[in-house]
Amino acid sequence: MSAMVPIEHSLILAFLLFFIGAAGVLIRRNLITVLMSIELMLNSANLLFVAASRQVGNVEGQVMMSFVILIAACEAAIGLAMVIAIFRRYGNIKTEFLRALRG
Amino acid sequence: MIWMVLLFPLLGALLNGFLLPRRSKLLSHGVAVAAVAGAFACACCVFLEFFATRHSHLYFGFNWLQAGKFTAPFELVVDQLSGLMILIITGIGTLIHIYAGGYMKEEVTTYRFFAYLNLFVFMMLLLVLGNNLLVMFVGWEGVGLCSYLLIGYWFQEEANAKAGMKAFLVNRIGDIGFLIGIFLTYKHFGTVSFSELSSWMNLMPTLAEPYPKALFWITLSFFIGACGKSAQLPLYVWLPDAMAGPTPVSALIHAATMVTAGIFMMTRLSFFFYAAPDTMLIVACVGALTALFAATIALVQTDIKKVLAYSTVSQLGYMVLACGVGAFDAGVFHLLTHACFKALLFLGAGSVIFAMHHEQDMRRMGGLRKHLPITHGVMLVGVLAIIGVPGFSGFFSKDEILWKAFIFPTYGPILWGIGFLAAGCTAFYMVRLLCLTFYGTPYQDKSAHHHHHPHETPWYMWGPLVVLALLSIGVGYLGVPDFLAHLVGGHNLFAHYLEGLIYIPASAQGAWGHLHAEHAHELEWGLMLSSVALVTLAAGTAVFCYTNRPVRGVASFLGGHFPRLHQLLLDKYRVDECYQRKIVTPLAEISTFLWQVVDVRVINGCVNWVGYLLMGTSGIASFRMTGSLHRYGFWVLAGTVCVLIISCF
Amino acid sequence: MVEVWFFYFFAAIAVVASLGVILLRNPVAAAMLLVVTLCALAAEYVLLGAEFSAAIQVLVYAGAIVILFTFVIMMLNLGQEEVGQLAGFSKWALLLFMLGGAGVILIQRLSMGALPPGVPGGAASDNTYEVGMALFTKYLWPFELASLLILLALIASVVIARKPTFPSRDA
Repeated sequence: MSAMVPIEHSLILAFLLFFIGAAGVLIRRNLITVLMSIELMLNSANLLFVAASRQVGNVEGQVMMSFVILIAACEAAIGLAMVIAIFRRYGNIKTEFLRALRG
Repeated sequence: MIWMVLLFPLLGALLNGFLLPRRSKLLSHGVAVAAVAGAFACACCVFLEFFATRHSHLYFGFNWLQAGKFTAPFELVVDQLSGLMILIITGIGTLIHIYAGGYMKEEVTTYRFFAYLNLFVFMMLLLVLGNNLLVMFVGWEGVGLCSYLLIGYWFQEEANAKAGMKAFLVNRIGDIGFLIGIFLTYKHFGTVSFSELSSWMNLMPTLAEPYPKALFWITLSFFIGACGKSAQLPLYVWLPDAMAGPTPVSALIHAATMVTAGIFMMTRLSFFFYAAPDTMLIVACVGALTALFAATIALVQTDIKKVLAYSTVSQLGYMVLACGVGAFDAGVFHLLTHACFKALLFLGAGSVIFAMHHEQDMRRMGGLRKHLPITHGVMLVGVLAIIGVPGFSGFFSKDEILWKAFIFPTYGPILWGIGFLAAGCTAFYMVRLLCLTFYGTPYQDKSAHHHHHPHETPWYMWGPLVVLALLSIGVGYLGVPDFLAHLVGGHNLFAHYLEGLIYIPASAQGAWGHLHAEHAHELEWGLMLSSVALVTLAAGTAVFCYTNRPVRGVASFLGGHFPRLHQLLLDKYRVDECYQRKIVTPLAEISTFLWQVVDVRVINGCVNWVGYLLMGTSGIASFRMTGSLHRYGFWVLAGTVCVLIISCF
Repeated sequence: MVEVWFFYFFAAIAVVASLGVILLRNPVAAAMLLVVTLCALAAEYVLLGAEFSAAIQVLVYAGAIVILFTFVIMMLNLGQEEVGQLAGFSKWALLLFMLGGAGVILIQRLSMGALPPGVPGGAASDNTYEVGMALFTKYLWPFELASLLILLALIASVVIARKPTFPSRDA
């Protein structure tokens, strides 16, 4: 435990994960994959919390990380329920069917 | 105590309207009578208290309206006029309430009737007690509302609902005049309080411009208001139709109290009217013409209530004539006597209608004297009072008015002549009513499918009639004209009583000198005797014409030889039709035009076209709103990045 | 130094696997690669001295949430996502904005200079104990509220996902 990974490296990894997740949200047309991409973005935030916790030497970052996991679980549950509801209604889960916001 | 006078009827109205169980007619009736009787008792106390000192007293309630310098406190005044009025309203109101219990016995929703009736009494009391124009206006509108509600009491029949609507709308025309009068008063005098206006007018020795002109318009506006309420030409048309309401309502509202509001208001503002001689001439002419006009219509009407309604219009014309010639005391005195005998006549007619099972056509009556002895007796007293037989109250009050009209310097004898003719007509049609109803042979119903034996009404219906009959004889002696009173060493008690209230402002003394000038008593005697002679002649003619069936002699002669005149009178000079053709129909057409073309096409069209235009242009602008979630997400991301970039620098 | 190399190793696995998550058209494969990503991140947590976080990452994320995804994928019997043009924006614009964001963050990072070194020995020997103490003392109320939130989410997901008992609006 002596040699520490510089926090910058953790930040770069978190940054990469976040943008990969964001790109996934934007380019995929399958709602399930979109949700998984959102999970990736949440994980990038988790990584930041844990790295910061390590950096400042207390556990509060890890406490926050556990709350984020909890919220991720809620989000996944409701999101998947909505996916099912959408599937019931449209017969598939392609995002191009969700056009109620059209002006 | 003064507040109790107001509180009792309001409480009665609320109890009957909202709180009490509605099924018990006895309870509704009892509460209503108790409320008005309580108010009467309190009014007596208030009046006696006032009478002991003869000083008008203000009762401040609370600060009602205040805006800048304008204040309108809720303030009541008890003086000669309002003290007398509250006695009339609550006293006659009590008698009519008692009577109404019997008349409305067969109704289902008596609680509604008595709630309206009590509310009416409350509003009328507010009208007469208010010490400023605004409080008076509240009462003024309130009695209009109650009148509408009560005329349309049997609203299941469309004609009744329409009559209520007509009364309301015609009254509104007058109300606009009243409102404009209030506005002008405030504009020129800065106050709407009677006591302040009165002292202002009293202290001004002369009136410089712009006051004389302003006063002309103010008084004219108020007079238009009075025309609406007191059913003068040309706004009288609602009153005959108002007979659609139950008869006690006709007695209370359309004979004894509400229609006198115009007279009351003009008397209240007598200091204004004295200072505007031009208006006074208009007032006098309108009053005289109304008296004759309505009396001629009443000559040929066959509906017993219609005859009484036109006679009310005619008598109100006399009162307005009295105001117009400056004899406000005579006008108020006639108001008092008329309240008694007209309430009596209406209630008597109500008893006849009640006994005849809601038959109102006089041609189907006759010979009722045997069946309705008490009603006949009191009706006889009422008729003698209204036609002015010496010794009865109408004689004193009407002759006083005619005398004051005669000495009016401008067109005085002409005004007197019109009033004189109207008195003759009055005698004729009232005796005709009496003959057709009570004398002669009973009407034989050919179809005879409902042959009911007419019967005398119960005691609580004829009781009030007897009281009113005594009053119809008695109150006349309060106002015996001076020249008669001097014979027994007295003077005109009533005029003396009102002296403190009705005064001619200093600025207008010159125009009204004749009121106090000495006149030859021979002239007065002569006029009085001539009107007695005319009344006797007209009454005799009526008796001769109508006592026996079939109708013969002069009436049929006139009807046969002047069919067009007869028809014109029967059609009430076709005023309603004329209004319909000249005012209502064009108004309806203009309104339809405004609705169909201006509103629908132009205004709605403009609004819609603005909408369409916006929808079109925004359609152009919203072509990027495809509803694609990806695109939205992308722009969220792009925006975030942009914010980040900006935050770096 | 070996921990550093392990860090880069797992970081590489996480990036490659997450790229697979967003690029593969088969949802089952994507879900499996998501598990790989999450596990790699759990390994990073261990390396950062957060054993408790690593444990719940594996248990809750990889174990529960991804299983939920898999269930839904199987229940809906989703096949390959067909190739199609994404309406709305060009991929080049997306790339441009991503690179722009990355560049900005890097510039910002560089302009701040080096961060102070971490607290040595910050990772306590008994990480789970400390997290537990924090959760049940200082963060007790948020923790209880979080349990309420998860109950609400449970009810909400049941309500949303159940078969509609009313006729669909435009069905």
